[in-house]
Amino acid sequence: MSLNNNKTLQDKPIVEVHGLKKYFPIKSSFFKMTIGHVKAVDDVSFTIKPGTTLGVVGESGCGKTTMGRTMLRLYPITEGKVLYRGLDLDKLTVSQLRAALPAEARKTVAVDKASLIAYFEENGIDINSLSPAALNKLRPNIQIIFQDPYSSLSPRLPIGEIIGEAVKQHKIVPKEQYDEYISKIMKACGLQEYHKDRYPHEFSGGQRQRICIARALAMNPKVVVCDEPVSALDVSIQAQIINLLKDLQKERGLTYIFISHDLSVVQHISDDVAVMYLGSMVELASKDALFEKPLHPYTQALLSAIPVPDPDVKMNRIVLDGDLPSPANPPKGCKFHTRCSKCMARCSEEAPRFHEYEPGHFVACHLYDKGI
Amino acid sequence: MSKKEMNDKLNNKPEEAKENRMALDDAARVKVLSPAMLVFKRFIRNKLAILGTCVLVILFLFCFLGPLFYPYAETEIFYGYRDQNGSYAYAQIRKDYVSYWNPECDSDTKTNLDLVERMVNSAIKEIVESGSDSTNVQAADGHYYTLKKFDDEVYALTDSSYVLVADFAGNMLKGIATFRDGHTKPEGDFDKAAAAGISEGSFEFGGLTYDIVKDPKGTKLDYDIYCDLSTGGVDYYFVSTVLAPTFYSEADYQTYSKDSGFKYHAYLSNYTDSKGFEYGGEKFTTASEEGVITLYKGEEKCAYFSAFAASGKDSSVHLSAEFQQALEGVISEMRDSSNAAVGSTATFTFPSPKYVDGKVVTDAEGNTVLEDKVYTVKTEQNDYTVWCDQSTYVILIYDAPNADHLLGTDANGMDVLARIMYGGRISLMVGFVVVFIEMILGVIMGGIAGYFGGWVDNLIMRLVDIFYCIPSMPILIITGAMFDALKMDYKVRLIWMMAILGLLGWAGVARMVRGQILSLREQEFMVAAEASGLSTSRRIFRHLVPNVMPQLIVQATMGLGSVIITESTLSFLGLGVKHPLATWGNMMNNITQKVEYLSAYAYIWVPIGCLICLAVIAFNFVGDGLRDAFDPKMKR
Repeated sequence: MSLNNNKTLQDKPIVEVHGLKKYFPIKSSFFKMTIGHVKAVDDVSFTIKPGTTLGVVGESGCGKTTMGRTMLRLYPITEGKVLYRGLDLDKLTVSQLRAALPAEARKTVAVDKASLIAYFEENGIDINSLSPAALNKLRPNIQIIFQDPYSSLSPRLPIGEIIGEAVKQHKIVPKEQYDEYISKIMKACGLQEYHKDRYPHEFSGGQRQRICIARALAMNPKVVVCDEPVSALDVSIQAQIINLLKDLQKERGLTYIFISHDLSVVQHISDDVAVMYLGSMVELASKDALFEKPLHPYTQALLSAIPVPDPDVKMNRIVLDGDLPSPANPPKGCKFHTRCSKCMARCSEEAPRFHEYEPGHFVACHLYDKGI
Repeated sequence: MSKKEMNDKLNNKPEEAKENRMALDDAARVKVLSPAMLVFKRFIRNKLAILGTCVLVILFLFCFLGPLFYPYAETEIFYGYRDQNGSYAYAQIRKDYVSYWNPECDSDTKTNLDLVERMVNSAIKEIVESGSDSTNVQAADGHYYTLKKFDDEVYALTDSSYVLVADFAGNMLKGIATFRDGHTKPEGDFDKAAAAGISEGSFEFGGLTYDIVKDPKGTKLDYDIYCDLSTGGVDYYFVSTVLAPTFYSEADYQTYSKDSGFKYHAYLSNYTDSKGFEYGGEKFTTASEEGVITLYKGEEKCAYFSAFAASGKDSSVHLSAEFQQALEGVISEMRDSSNAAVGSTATFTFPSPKYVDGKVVTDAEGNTVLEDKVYTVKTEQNDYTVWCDQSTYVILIYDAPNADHLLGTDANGMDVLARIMYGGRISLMVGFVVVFIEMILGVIMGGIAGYFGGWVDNLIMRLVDIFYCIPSMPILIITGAMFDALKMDYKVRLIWMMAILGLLGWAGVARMVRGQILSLREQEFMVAAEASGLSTSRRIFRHLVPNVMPQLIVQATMGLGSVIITESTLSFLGLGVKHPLATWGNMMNNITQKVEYLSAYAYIWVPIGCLICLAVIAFNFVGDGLRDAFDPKMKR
């Protein structure tokens, strides 16, 4: 598939997330009244450059998966913007494009397709502003690979159908090339052509995950959210899948958001790494910077837990006390202060800003705030 | 098999196997099985399910193809001969007198005698009371007839021509007062001659003898003068009797016995000197045998006279004289004994022609085969009826199983086996249609509720709750009665019944579908479908429905059995499918009129009951088998 070589796009981030929030209401059992919110994703902002991989790490329940899904609007967005660039906007009608314009741009942008697309290429299109029909048309550009390869495949459809049904619906290739295209995608993902007529239950976990990847790639996406794609697989298969993803990225210039709780996997695949804690991002840096010089105490604790395959090296683990606090009732101030070894008085009162401490290295901790 | 041969065989075997060996990476090595194939494979491993399937296939062939090869139609009514106890003849002892005409009398006389006839019975009573031999009966025209006693119970009416010609006031000798109409006073001294004859009671004048009778009713001393105008002697116009001739062979004497002239002569001959007469060119004689007057034709006995009268129930029944005599004997015995009350019965046997299929059985020589038949005589108010088993052409109701009707016939004379076939069609069709309606409604309502959720779900589920609360049997009984009241056409009624059954049954399906869809909607593959931007219809019909299908199929199969039961129950109660349409339920309704029918006509309800049982059990087996087969956790 063609690599997107647009120079301006190369400079601008393909995904921009601004203050993304996803709150799940907690309802009382009897009157169905909202009595609180689970703040699964709480004010997250970051950008991703095209063709790179953003690794997202964090404990279980810290909101990684929710963030990934909310970015695709699989969950309704509570607040914030998710801007994409380089999507196939010419599939949309003028009115659909116009409806997606932010209020302040309504008057300035001319109502014709070319200028509308140009505006969105410049500023990015907010996924939350799209109508459901328009969103469906753009879905192929932003795909997701699920954590569980077992439940994410419909048990009553043959593999060819699973991979191809959306290809057919979105007319990604002409009808006569359809079979050939599916075979090509399957081969690219390490599946055999004769697997087409088989059913999901006939495959192993690794094969299933390849089917999931093939399904996502068949849509010719720009951005792929990989939601812990290897955590359900054993280590040997994990390597296969990770390498497959890397090869495909090289081949097609894909942009990945790679969600995982496995630091070594993230280290292997990512260009940038973000660390999440309790719905918020605590640190974001290039892979090398983060692994060489973790700033946030939580990141440090996480990295110290990576096992070293050498019995002679003494591990200097930072052990975190206590459990992850409830996201429905997060601690005041810095969310991590309840478990932080470097906790200060300020931490329990004031929430730290997520700021750029060094160029390209963002952190949310009072330790690195310039105010100190 | 020798040891060597066996060794050879064993040695050869690996080579055969080598040819068939497949490479490890052969695509054909692992058989591709779709989920449907897997279900099918699991299903055919279940013996009960296979049994159920076989039973159902046989039932379907029987019901849907059977009638094509079976000669009888659904509502064909069968007729045939059957021995049926019914009234056969009537008998009575005559008390009123019947009359027979002299065929030679002229029409004027006949008109007169018609008028006299009404008075005959009272005149005979008068004779019996007075103990005399004869009496005069006056016709309306004033003509006198003489009723004479011939014998016990036999009387004759003759034209006496003995008429009242004048009233005569004798005492005062005032002369003839008046002459009656049509009579004129003879010329001469008639008055004097009459006065002279008063003391003798008669006188002669002008060659005629006149009787002078003192008028007993007259308050004055009046006399009536009678004159016998005829000189030709006695001429019998009329015989009145309670004894009627009973002919021995009805066939031979039919022409005579219908003819009252023949009977007239037959009566008279007994009182003539010659004891014989000629009629229609044949000679007959009468004789008295043991007090019974018998009529002979030549040497052959042809009739006897009796006050006893018996007749067949209609013109087709001819009673022979022997039979009548036997009957007379039985009845007189009954009269003699105390067994004479109304309703009392007596039986006798009499050799009668044997009937098979409405035809008289004859032996090789063409003679009628006789068999002893039991006749029952019943005393009625004024007469007697004779009952016996008669070979009658009837609708063959409740015919026992035989070669023509393998399961017999029902209360309407229709073939039970044919109706079981056609009834099976209706019963199975009702099952399928109703389940289809249930499924369609249930899937649509449950699907909407499950997929959209929220207030729609709430609304539909409350509707489902309401439908669960409705007691279906009373509703069905009420609607059945309503259809009866509306006199609905049986076909329209069938459609309505299926619609109502379907309407009452969708709630369970809807609830099941909703539950399934609710859980499926949250499955990751549905999220994946959404992430792929698939259209809503595709998501519902390609991803949700195929996953609900197994449960639907199981529910439908199980539902079929219960719908068949419900339909049978309703039809059995007479509130479902109506005659002439046959269903398994309403066929059993045939035998509910009497308790003893249940045991007497077991050949009707036992096969039907077995079929209902079989169908329901088979559907349940298949349903169970399908459920197990669809359950992925079930091991091979």
